[in-house]
Amino acid sequence: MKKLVLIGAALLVGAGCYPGEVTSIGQLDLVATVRDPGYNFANVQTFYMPDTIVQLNEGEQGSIDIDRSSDDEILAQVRDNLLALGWAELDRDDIDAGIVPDVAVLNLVSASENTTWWITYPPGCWDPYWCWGWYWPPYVGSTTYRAGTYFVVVGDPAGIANPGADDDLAGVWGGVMDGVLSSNSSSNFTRLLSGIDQMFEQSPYLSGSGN
Amino acid sequence: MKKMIAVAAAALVVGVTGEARAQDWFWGGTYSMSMPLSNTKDFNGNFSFRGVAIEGRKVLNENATVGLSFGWHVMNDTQEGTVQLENGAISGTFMTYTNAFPIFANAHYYLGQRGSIRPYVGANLGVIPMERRAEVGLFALKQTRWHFGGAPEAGFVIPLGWYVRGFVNARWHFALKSGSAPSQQYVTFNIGIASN
Repeated sequence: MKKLVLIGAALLVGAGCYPGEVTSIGQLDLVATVRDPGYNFANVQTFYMPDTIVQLNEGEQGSIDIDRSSDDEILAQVRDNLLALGWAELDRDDIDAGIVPDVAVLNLVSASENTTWWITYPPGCWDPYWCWGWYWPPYVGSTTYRAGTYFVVVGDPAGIANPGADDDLAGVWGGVMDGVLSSNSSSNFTRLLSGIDQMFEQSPYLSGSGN
Repeated sequence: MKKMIAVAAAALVVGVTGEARAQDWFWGGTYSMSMPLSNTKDFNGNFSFRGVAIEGRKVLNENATVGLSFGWHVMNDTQEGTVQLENGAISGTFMTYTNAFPIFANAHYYLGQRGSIRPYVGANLGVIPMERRAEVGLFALKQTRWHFGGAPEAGFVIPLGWYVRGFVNARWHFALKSGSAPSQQYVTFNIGIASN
């Protein structure tokens, strides 16, 4: 009997249970922000934002083509949030005239198709194929999903006076929206816009408060 | 959940097949519900209906037993929100899980007479391997630690037949701090069957 109890114990230890399940693709969204704690955002009055969303992993293995039809609306969403901070936007003419913005804002994106392989052995079987005197085949499967990440980076352009240096643009704030891409591009678009709003909502210090 | 039901069934079978082989032992299995407390509640606050345990008790005399127990208690929670970090923040749907596997040596003292419903108290002492897992977005963090811990216990033994007894009890599990893992607490409410 004691042996049976020990076997039962061995079966249980390490066999984690994870109840609950994802009920919508939006539950897989994540918004993260990070700041340079030494930077005083209260001094920011102007920004410049290039009108291009740069794809980071374009042409790389696993990358997927991105629908560019909504780029303008996405950039407008970022711009609206920056203007709501009280920052004034400089345009290309200002930059060409030699006016240096307090911060530059870059928009970047990556999207890829990922395949995850998994293999599961029967619980309690330390040997991959044999346990308790029986042959137990492992369970093998794979999951393929398309995921995208959108980055908004705010940098201090002071170093741009030295082009080519590693520290050309010192990042002082970054926002990331990461999630699974659904086949419904409208859903992806709506979730991205909400994610961009969330980046700014959880970063109240950008407006200069709390510095 | 299917895995837990299978294990619970196996635990009951273990209890029943132990019948009459050793009159001085009784074996049993319990279904456990868990109420997280303290740090455990902060991590996953939901009352849980997922838990099982198997147990053997050696009869020392009419009023006392010593034994071993092994449990599997699962607690989980899903919360949407923002977690503030030192220099940033993370927002999303946080899914958290605690799998606890208490392994105890124990002693129990029974009041009343054999053949009647008997209240009892007990003390459990041993280790509690605990796995805590947090998922947000496509990312997951997992920490597994072995905690020293124990569980005071109180309950009732209910005679159901010549060799079979039912029992209900409550155990307050406490797990001491282990490395970077903080102390943990939860109470289980258990319903079981045992035979001797």
